[in-house]
Amino acid sequence: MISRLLTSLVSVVAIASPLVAQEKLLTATEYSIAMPFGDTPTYGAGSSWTGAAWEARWMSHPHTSIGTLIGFNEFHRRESGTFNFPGGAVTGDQYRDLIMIPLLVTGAWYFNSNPDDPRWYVGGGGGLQYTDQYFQLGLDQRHQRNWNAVLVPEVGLTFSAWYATGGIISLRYHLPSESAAFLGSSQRRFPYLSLSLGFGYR
Amino acid sequence: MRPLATLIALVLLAAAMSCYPDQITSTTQLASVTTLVDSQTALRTAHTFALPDTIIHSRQPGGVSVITHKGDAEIIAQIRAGLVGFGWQEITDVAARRPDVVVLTAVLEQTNTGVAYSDWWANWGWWPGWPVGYGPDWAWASPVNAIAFTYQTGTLLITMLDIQHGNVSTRRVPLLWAAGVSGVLTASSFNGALTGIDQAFSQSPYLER
Repeated sequence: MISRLLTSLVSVVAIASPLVAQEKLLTATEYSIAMPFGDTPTYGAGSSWTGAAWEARWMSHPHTSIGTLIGFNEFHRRESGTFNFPGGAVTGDQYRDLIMIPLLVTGAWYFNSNPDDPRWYVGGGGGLQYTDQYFQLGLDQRHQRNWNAVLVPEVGLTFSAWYATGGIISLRYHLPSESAAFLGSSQRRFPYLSLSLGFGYR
Repeated sequence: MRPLATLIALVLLAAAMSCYPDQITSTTQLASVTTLVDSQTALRTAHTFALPDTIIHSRQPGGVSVITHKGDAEIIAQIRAGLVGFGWQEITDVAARRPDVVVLTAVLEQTNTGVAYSDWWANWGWWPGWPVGYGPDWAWASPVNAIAFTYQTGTLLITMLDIQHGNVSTRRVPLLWAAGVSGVLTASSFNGALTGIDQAFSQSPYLER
């Protein structure tokens, strides 16, 4: 699955590359940290420091842009000890991991129309999200993989740096649809808040 | 230059996606002890057990045993000590008195899923304590709410069967308690198995009489 995603990523780059040379385009590669909400702490109650994204924004009008984003955030939890369940118990090293890869179409409205100035914006995205739940206890390893619909409202700031470069700071709330039951008998939703800082070309 | 930089960034991103930070990496971290229980009346009232001194060793054809019959006596002694320590009484003359449960032990050096194996009567049918009527067409009944577990590579399986309450109509022998000590088989696996037996009893306080 990862290799297929990699292929898709390279394809996106190949398609997008000619556009990079056009004006009014902002691309950025972002480092992203995240905080879990909802059922996400099942896979890690603390903040996630593993995440990245790549996005492109076409500044179609002075105050608006449309774009695309692909990224990932990862949560994990490592525990040892005895875990009880209704019909027994198990002792060992337990590892849980949750990877979410959103593929979004985005839009934003900017309070300032001058692209050379720092510009606060509000916006959001929608699209698909690939969710990979992983559980390991001892020799037993299990995956649950889903494609979810996802909505991602965001606020942030775009800024210009030296010649032809710029960046994006964004705060996004990721709200995916429910994933199939895996750890437990019911479906779960894995929302999270991400803070990203990216640099790129404009 | 721009497409190249973007491509490099994306490759790094994809590489990051393919790894699991802080994941389990060593063989010692792959050891686990799983216990399943049917905590209904039959277990709560049982207090006598029989413990045949034979351990069935099962491995895939052509495989080499890591845990051999040399350790059988020590494994049996460890199980006996756990039960006696919990206040159970061992019945050795099963012809004179039938125990409440029989505890059977197997070493499985192969990949299996579940809590029972189908060829149990072929391995244990010789035991004289089975009530009249039990036979090769009987199977084990899983505990209520049991979650099947996978035991791979190497598992010491301890099972406690309720021989007093076999279901004649369904031909099932109730499985009251099961413990699986699993791990990657290495030279130290035997000691790990003994430690695992202690852990199985430690996480099963309901066995105390």
